[in-house]
Amino acid sequence: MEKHNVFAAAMMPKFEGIASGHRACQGCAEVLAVRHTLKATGKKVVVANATGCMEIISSPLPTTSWEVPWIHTAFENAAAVASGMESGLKVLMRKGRIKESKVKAIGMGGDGGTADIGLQALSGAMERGHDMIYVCYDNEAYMNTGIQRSSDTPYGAWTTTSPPGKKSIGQVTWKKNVPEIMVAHGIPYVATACSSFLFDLEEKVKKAVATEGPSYIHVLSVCPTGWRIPAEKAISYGRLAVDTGFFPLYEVENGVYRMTYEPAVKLPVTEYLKGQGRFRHLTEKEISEIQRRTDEELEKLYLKVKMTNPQAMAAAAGLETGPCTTEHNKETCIRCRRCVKVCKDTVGVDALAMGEPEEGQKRGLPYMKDPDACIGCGTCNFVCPTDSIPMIEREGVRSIWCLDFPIRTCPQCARYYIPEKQVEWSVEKFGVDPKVFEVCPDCR
Amino acid sequence: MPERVGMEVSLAAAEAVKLCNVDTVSAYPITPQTHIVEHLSEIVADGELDADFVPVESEQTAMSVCMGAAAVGARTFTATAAQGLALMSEMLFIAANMRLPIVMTIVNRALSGPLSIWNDHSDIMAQRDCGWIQIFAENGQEVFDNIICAYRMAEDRRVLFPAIVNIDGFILSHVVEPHEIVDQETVDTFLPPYEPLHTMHPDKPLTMGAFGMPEIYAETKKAQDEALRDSLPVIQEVWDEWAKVTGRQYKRVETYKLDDAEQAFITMGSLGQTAELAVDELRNQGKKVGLIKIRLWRPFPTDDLRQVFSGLKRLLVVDRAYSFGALTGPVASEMEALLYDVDNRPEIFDFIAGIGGRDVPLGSFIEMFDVAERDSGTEHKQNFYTLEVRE
Repeated sequence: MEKHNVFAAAMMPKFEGIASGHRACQGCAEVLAVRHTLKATGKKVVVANATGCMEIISSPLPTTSWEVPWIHTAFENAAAVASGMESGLKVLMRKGRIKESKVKAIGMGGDGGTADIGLQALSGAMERGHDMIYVCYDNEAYMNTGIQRSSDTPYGAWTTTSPPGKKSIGQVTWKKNVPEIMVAHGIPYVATACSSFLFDLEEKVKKAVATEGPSYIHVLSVCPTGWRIPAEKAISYGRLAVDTGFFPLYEVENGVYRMTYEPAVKLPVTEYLKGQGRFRHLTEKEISEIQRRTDEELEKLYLKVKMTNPQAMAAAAGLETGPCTTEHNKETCIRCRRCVKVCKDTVGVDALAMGEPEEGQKRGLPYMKDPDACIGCGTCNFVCPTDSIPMIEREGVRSIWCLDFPIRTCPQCARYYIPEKQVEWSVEKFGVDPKVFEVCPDCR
Repeated sequence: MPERVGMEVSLAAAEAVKLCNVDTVSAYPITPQTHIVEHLSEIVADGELDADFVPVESEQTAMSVCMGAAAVGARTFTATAAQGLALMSEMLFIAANMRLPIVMTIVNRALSGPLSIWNDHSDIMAQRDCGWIQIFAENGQEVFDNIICAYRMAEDRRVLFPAIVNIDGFILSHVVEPHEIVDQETVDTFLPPYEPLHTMHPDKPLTMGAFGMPEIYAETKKAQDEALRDSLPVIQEVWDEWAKVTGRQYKRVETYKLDDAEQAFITMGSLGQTAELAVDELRNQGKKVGLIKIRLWRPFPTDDLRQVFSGLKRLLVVDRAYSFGALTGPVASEMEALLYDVDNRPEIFDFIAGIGGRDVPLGSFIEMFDVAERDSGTEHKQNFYTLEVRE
């Protein structure tokens, strides 16, 4: 998310994988998440969809909303069908029967098709190591059949099969943690995302596309119909789910946990629960239990982040200092020069350069040639197609290229948004009114 | 003439799949199908076949992987039996409706419960209406030949349906028989690479598997049924082509010593071999008996059967599955329906035999004949008989 305080929505891909005119409910954030997933993948995909909302709103024979190759067969087998497509494409390309190109197989399903009936097929596909992505659009119940509970329905929620009554508070079980089950499969990339954080979702999808092997993305997809909220509140409630820690946004890359978004001020869960019809029957007792559990889960997650970060692992291995986490990643860099070009031509800073090519290489690797010139704007990080330029923001400091830049916190929404050095540079070089930078672009 | 080699039928089946240059094989182990997929995985591991062997976590997924792979244009294979087939059931209907030319061998085994790994036809009969082409093989050579023919049938643009080759579990799948293994060049000429009509590829985005509202669902189903019926002549055409290449001629319905017969047995699968011996035995006793073997079960060869029935006074149907609570077993039920409006229709006797691995030796056929002689035209005639079963 941090990256997009630098560049705004204009950077969003123009490609549309699902056409408008489908039959989703008003305010459906799930179809929004699907749309942005496909924006991030681009058209080089084949999609297997489970039976469910996304299938039923998009494909009444003989019409379709899909602009990408799309197949639906059954409810429980989207991951299996995607793995079959991956297998078929791989062999046909190997045998020269279709031309060699990178086509990613994607499985898609709702929480029922993923956490319940499709869990076995998903586990199999992930375990077998197919080069594919599975995306779960979790709207926390069987919305397509009329809001019945699933194992991903949160504790306390009303659904038509978990009604609160004299003997029940509604859903009596806690949300099944499918991302964690996927992490246990040892796959290279697992992430959570939310329909209200579309840039974050897109970045994760791009990462998954670039990952060799299986990736899993669990997208909390707000469902106004099933959650009993006004359609226009879909985006707000997604934000609240994340800002209350109810649904944290993180990613796990090769076992290393990283928070991709941290609310500057963690809100109490009541902010999220109140106003949702599905939680309206809850009493103080249940709410405090939800708060306790949310805090506990979040604490566990932060511990995992702490324990798996490269410095901690280096320390555990007895190394005195860990590797610089903001150093350019030479392994994944494809030497495309985008970072160098954007720094010089778009930003006008010219802090990066391409190094001398090594033996057998056409181009060298980019490096920081002028640390004094760098303003820490993060544009190089944003344009990097393989995410080889790490950028970390914590405790008021943005770190990139092993340089630290004090960064401003928005007084209205408490998000990090611009390094002090970039403000000075903008004022000095372009004569921008410093008042412009007093709040973040979203709050301006 | 290719050399005849002694080989277990399951291994010959795997060799046939190899010769078909299949792209994706996906299977889950279940007795008695295992020898086929074990041998195939060896063939792939040794690099004799350039294919992707996807060892899945269930039959449901095995069929789903085949559907995915077939949708991108790959030639696919799977094999299963009994419980595995039942678990696959949902996908079978979808694969047929999506016209994906997957080929599957079913090593026929009894359905639980009680659990039984032994042979009968209750597994396939439960999936009778799944919309696949369904072939029954009588011996190892037929298994080998029909796997190759099944791909040619399934992938024919006038057909485009998935196809099943049924192999009786253990009593056929696990026996060593002489096989004529056809050479690669012959198979390559007979079965060119699969040229799919539509595929899932970003170059030409397509939607497959849309849902049907009431105003269109019925039309799709009628079209599917008509297409399967229309594949009857193509199936015969493929077998005729195969005869030109190998000299082995197959027909949708086979007969044995039927020309002057007054009575005939009807069998499917490997029992045909025993039945032939029984016919010989009864002929030695001066009885005018013949044999009808149904090779193609779906699409049902109605006209072929009507032709061979003419002049027969009595039919002795051997059913290898129950249709619980029904008038007769599933095969006899088809015969009753088929002959209902035929003048001088033969009298039908149904024998449910060979259930869950119970042996059906030559003597059983003689007994069937005797029972029919005894009860013919009397009030004792039953809708069906269960032989060799303790009461």
